[in-house]
Amino acid sequence: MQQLHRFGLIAVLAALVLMIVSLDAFAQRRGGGSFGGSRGRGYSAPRSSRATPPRSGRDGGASRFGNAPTTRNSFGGSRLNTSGDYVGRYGAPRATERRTMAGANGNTNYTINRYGGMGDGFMMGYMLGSIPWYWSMPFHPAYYFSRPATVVNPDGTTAVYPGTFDWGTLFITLLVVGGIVYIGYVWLRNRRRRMAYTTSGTMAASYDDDQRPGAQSSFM
Amino acid sequence: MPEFSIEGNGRLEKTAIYYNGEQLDGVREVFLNIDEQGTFDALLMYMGTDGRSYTKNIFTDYLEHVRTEPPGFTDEDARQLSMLTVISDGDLESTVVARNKEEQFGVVSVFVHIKAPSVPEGGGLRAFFGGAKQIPDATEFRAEIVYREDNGDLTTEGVF
Repeated sequence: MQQLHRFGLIAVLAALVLMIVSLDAFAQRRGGGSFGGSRGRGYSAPRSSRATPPRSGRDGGASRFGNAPTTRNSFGGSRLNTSGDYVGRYGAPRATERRTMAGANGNTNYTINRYGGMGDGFMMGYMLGSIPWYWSMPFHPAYYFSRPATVVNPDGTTAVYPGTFDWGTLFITLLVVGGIVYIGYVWLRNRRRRMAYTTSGTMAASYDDDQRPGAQSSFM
Repeated sequence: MPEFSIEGNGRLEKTAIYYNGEQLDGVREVFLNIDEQGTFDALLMYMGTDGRSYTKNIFTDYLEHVRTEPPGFTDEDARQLSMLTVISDGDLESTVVARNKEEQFGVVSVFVHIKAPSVPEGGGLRAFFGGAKQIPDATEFRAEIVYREDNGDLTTEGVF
């Protein structure tokens, strides 16, 4: 019975850990975790470079995306309708640069918007195409940042914005980790109590004292 | 044949159980109910060396993982204690009962029930989070032998 109890506890803990890892792994798979994966169809070469997001009212229409794909996102982060969505919330980027990166379906032009800070660094990491495993672990700050946001510009380029701090992830992580710590604490506390009861508790000690050879009672 | 002895003064604090001369440790409960009608119950419950609880037939089962300890009583102590010994292989016909090393005759029945008080009970999530309360289990200490006298009367005597 005790073994069964212990086995159940281990199973619960393992399930919780697996839940955290697998959720993140799923998120990585969904986003490809990398730049340059298959996008379904290729882009035409950009005719112009636009560093700043479009501002006209026409940007909100679906047609402005032209032949840009609408079903898949390279990074796995959120895709914005317009650059204005991001700029409106976080302001104008400190710097903007254009990069052409080779993917499975040829080169893709990206407009990278830099805001500085950790999210900026993580964005560049994601753009390199392969992120280290520990970015998916709760002890790494990247775990608490969303993946880079992208916007497909009318000219065919893809604007990339850094991910932002995700309070929801922090909250859920604290909840899960706190729960695991609490379960461990309770398990240890109860185990200590049981040990104290069977070896040196008042009731046990009165009948049987293991420290003394040749106890005068066989009972415990 | 296995030799099972109980030595004590009627209090759990001074009750030693011997199996083939070795003093046992970690005993939780002893139950002996033997009568001439054929009843033969001889159970021993103990906590083994592996921390698990075992319930065994004293005379027919192998007492695996049983804990033993050096004898706790000196000869001087023993003089003030009573000892009940049952030697048997699980068959009533070959069962010998002795008190203070004297073989007994005319025994109708032997009843011994010695039980240590409770251990924390309960299981499941409630117990895991400390919600389960200890269920007190009263100490049981009964040891009686019924004799048939020469005139046919039955006499009950406490052992300790």
